Amino acid sequence: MVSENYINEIKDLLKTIKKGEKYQIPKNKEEFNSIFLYCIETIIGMLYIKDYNELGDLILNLIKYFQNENNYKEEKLKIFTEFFNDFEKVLETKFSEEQIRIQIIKYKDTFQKKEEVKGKEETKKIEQYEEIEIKEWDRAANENLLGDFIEETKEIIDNLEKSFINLENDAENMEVLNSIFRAMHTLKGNSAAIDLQVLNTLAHKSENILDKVRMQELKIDSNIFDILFECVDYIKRILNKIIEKENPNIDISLIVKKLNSILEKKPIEVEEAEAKIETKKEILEKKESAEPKAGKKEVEQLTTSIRVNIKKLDTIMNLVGEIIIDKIRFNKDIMKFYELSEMLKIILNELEINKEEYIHTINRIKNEDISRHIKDMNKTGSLFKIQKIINEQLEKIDALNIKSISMYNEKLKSFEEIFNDNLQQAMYLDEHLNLIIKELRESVMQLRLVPIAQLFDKMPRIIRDNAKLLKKKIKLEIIGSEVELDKTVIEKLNDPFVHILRNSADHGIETPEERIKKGKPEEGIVRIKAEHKNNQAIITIEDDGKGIDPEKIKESAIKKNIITPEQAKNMSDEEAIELIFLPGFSSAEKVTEISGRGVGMDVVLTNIKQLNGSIKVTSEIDKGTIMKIILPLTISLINVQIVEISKRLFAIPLTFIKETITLEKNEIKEIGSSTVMKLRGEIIPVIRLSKILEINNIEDNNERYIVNIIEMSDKKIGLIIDKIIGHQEIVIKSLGNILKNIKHISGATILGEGTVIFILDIMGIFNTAKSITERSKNLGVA
Amino acid sequence: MIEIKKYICFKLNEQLFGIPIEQIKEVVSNLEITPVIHTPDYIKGVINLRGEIVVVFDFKSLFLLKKNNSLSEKIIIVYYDNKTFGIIIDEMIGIYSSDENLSNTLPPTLSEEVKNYFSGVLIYQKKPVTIINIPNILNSEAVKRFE
Repeated sequence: MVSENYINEIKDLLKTIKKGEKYQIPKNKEEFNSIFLYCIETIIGMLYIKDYNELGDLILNLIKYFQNENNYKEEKLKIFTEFFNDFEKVLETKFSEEQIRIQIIKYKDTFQKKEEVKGKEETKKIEQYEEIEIKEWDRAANENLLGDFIEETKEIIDNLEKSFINLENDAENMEVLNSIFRAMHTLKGNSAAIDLQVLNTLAHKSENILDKVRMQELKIDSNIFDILFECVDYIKRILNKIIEKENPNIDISLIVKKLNSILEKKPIEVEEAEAKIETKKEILEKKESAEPKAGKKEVEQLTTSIRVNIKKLDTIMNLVGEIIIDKIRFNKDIMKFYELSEMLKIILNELEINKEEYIHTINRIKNEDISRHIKDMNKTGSLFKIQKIINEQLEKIDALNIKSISMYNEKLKSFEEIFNDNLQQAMYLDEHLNLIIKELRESVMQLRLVPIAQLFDKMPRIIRDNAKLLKKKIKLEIIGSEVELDKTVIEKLNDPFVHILRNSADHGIETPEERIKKGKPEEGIVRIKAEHKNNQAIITIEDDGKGIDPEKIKESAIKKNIITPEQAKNMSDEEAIELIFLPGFSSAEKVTEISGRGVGMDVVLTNIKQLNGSIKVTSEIDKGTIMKIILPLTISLINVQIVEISKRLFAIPLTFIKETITLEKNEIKEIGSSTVMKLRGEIIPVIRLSKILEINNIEDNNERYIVNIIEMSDKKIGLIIDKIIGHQEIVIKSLGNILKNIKHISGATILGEGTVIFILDIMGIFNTAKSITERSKNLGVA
Repeated sequence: MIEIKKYICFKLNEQLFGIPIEQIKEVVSNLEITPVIHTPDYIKGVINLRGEIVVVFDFKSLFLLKKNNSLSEKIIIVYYDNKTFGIIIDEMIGIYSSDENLSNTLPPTLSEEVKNYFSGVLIYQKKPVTIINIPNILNSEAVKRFE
């Protein structure tokens, strides 16, 4: 279904090219190339977006049909006018399938035929490709389009890389070829829209090449693939320049030359081809700089947008609709309560009047009746009569009493009934609203989730390039691309992922010869997999390479003074493997051009830690390595334990707490200067959280201690807290851009009553605690 | 042309200070300040400013002024270069307009160490008003170390 807006937009565009009532072809090339072409290109782009690919292709061919000859003949004008009149019919019927089919059948051949003639002329045109002068780009003029442009271009690049790999494996696949062509075309249009010539040039030329391939004028080979890949890298670099607010006009002369050489069907001279291999390294390096840097300040400052599935928005709209209905019901309820309050007022008023009446009657009886009877009594002197009179008066009072009591009883009963009904309604609404609000919050969080395909789709390219350079055979298996994760998580995961994958290709997978010697299949396998489990995302990267040798790790760590030989002796294999996460550690014997970039696994760990996640490595020599990354689904919502430490509140992410136990004072023992506890036979160091956080310790008169057991890389530590306030799901708030880096704090949140509390960085605390206990252990020994 | 500049004026101890009005977002009071662990005295804590967490500075401590136990709850919210922060003040004085040039002689209560934090001094109704240089403070090591 297309929307009214969508159709109107196209109609507006048609109006612009329509000069009055009739369609007219621009008289000269300048006119053709300016506004006219722009409108048509936009229409084509819009068609592609909605997957009316055939229609889009049709108009594209129409344009070419006109562009290819210098003069515009009568006959052409006729086709042109007819085409757009028919196209309007398509619009009128809101893109009915039938009309589209009629259009396609009618015109497909008309344009296709001319296409064949056209081929020869294009070669002439190529000459003019040689001199392009790139204008300075006016960023400010296009600023408000940039957010969308960047987001869309990123998507297009990912899409292109994925499709190129597919095409490389299956060169005959027209489907893939067409989708690449369309992606390139959209890129061309988008870059023209923001007047970015340098990108436009590259997209334009790539599109021309792809078009030739499509028309089977050109046979695609590995050389063309390499050049196209290189071109995509250039596009990435240009995009990055824009993201980092630098001048995007990089030198594209070399790549343009290469692209032109394909267009001119000239084989690249041997000399140049050799040079190309040499520069491959350089290209890889350049590409590294082309990878988006999630941690960079500039990137953060740019307002990034996110594409949202319309279904998700609909869910939210529905929930908002529910809230509005509830609000109306609440209003009714309030009106009823108002009525009840009026009713109560009347009853109270009546009661007041009644009370007065009552007092009045009693007074009358007291003052008049009784005194009169007493006077009478004096005359008659009969006590019995007085008794009778008093009884009579008392009965009057009783009757009055009973009458009013039963009346109010009734009135108040009906009041209670209505009141209870109303209260129930209000309570129901409250419950309903709570539910909706919870759902609404979840749905809004859902908006931030995007499929991990955004990350995974980039990986085939990395494996391909590395395998080619290292002369290895590597097959990449991707499982679970559809798993959704927070967009920020996916962005932050990019660098670690690329790094781990490069490591797998470089250090993990052996050369085909080595593999054959070991009796493994020639082709190595790298498998990336994503899955959801218990509200967490688990991402594994697995290879069947040579694995990590703990002994070699130890050796290397000793050489680098990271550990002492004694420490190495007492280290388990698992502990040795964990050493790769220490800063300044690189397990490669020699630094290779691929993974030796000065950044190591420590950066991987830091990034994952920032996401409140963890990473675990298991490896077996000659079998392979598995890296398991566990991440929360969203980084903006976590479950925490709220604790009190020295009268201050803090939040501890529940994922880090293995268990919470209460200990008697005497269960904590001092060994040397460190304190330890016993947990099911295991001795665990314990430390006061207040000591680590350096906040004043309030006098310790406690007979019992509350201890949170934290486990990290198979090591446990107990953290003593004063009090547990409760467990809660909280929204993580940023600390703003002044307080970004505070020791032992990973974020903050605002509690219901508006108080700010800090979320503790348990990994940092764990490390501090470890170093404190180790220090005191050493002191104790000394 | 004479340029008239406006400053928000306030007191720290009994001394007058000013900040160009365009750098001020608002003045708030009675907000709970949560202290931040592992930070020096001049970081008073953070507040919840309508759902946004904002750091509050104690400029008395930053300017190495004497500490008195003021009971004021007033916080000036500064917004400059995409950064928002609060300053706890003793007393709000008002807005001063001035076309004077700033003089460089700082009051004797301010030590040489901190002179970089000020743009200069302005005399308003015979009283010196020290104008705080917000960009310099944001760029100082004291603030940058937490970024």
